[in-house]
Amino acid sequence: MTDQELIAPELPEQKDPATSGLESGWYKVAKSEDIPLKKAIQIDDFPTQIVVWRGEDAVLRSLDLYCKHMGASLACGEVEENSIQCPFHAWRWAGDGQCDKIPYAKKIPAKAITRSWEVSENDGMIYVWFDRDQKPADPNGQKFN
Amino acid sequence: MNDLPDRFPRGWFVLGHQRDFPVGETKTIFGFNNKILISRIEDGSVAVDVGGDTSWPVLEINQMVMVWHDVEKQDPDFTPDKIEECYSDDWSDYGMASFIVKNNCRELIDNMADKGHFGPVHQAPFEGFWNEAKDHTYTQEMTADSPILGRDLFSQARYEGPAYMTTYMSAVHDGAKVESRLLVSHIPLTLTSFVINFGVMVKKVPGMSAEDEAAFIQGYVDANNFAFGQDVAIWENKIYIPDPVVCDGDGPLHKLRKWYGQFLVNRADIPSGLDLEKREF
Repeated sequence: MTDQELIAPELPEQKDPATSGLESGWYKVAKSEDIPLKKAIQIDDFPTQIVVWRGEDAVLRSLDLYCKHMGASLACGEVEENSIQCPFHAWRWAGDGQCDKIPYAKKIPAKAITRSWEVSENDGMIYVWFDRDQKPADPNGQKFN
Repeated sequence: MNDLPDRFPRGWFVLGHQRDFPVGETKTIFGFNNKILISRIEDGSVAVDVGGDTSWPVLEINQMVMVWHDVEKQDPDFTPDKIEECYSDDWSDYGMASFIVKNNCRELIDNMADKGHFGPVHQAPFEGFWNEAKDHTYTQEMTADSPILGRDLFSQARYEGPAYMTTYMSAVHDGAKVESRLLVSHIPLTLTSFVINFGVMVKKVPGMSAEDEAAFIQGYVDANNFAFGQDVAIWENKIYIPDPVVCDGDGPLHKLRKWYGQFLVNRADIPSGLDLEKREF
């Protein structure tokens, strides 16, 4: 039995970054201290939702937030070695966007690829490159707060 | 953008346990974007009023009061099978619980074919896993070993339509075999929220006091509540992937979604070839 009201929440979505209208450049998404070793966080304040994590090698990596398999948020997952493991089916994604492990599969499907984002860290700040023309990151590109 | 269904599925939906609708009382619940009034009148029958419409067919079976939803307003083309245990003194009545999930109700259905989530989400890696689809029914059989739901677990779960699932389960707890029956039903509130009503009944253990039995059932309700909580944490923080990339270890997810799709179209538009012969995945 329930006597709940008729709530109609908006559901999460993976926004199309091409519709953001933002300039290409490095966007500040967090402070270095926000992402300690082997931790992942969700970033909404970017042209699309992303997960940013620090591997056990201390390097930061970033992918689209939602798993390309069944759609769960990778930010709710665990960092394993230098990859991020989805909480739903434990598919593990490397920083280059390749799925590098599925514990219950014999073979990783060729299409198991997600979008990766370039991350840089300097002066205690974490930046992610957004490029409106989908070109590689420019190390000397403009920084945005 | 979220590609939501254009309607609520056609089928039988549980409004609640029979005991919650005593003679002479009117209860209000919410569902199908409406306020639903449920009254048991003097002759013992149940009348349902969905936002002023009193034409929805009502059914009482397996201790539940159910209503038929169909945007085409046609008569039901199936009824759930009678479950003998629901009418047997050897079994308890259903202990019930409910909670809200903020997503479209189709999320719940994916679990039927989703053998890959039992390990990561429920810490219960499956051993054997079978699926079968036939007409309006979809059946999952599973053997597993779960610290939450029991050792040497066997379960057979069957959907009859899109919203009424019953499970027979046996497991070993503290060295003793426990047989149980689960009900997992839901009512959509809106296209982005639904209420799960679930029930648990157990086969009575000879010599067990009524008090111990009630505590035992409550323990099972709590365990299932905990397992659903693990699912909800995922369901409320995910997007819907309409055409997922699957791997060789995944269940027949595409097949299951096609089967479920029959309840989201007019009857004349239901495609053929939705059945799936029972097989192991």
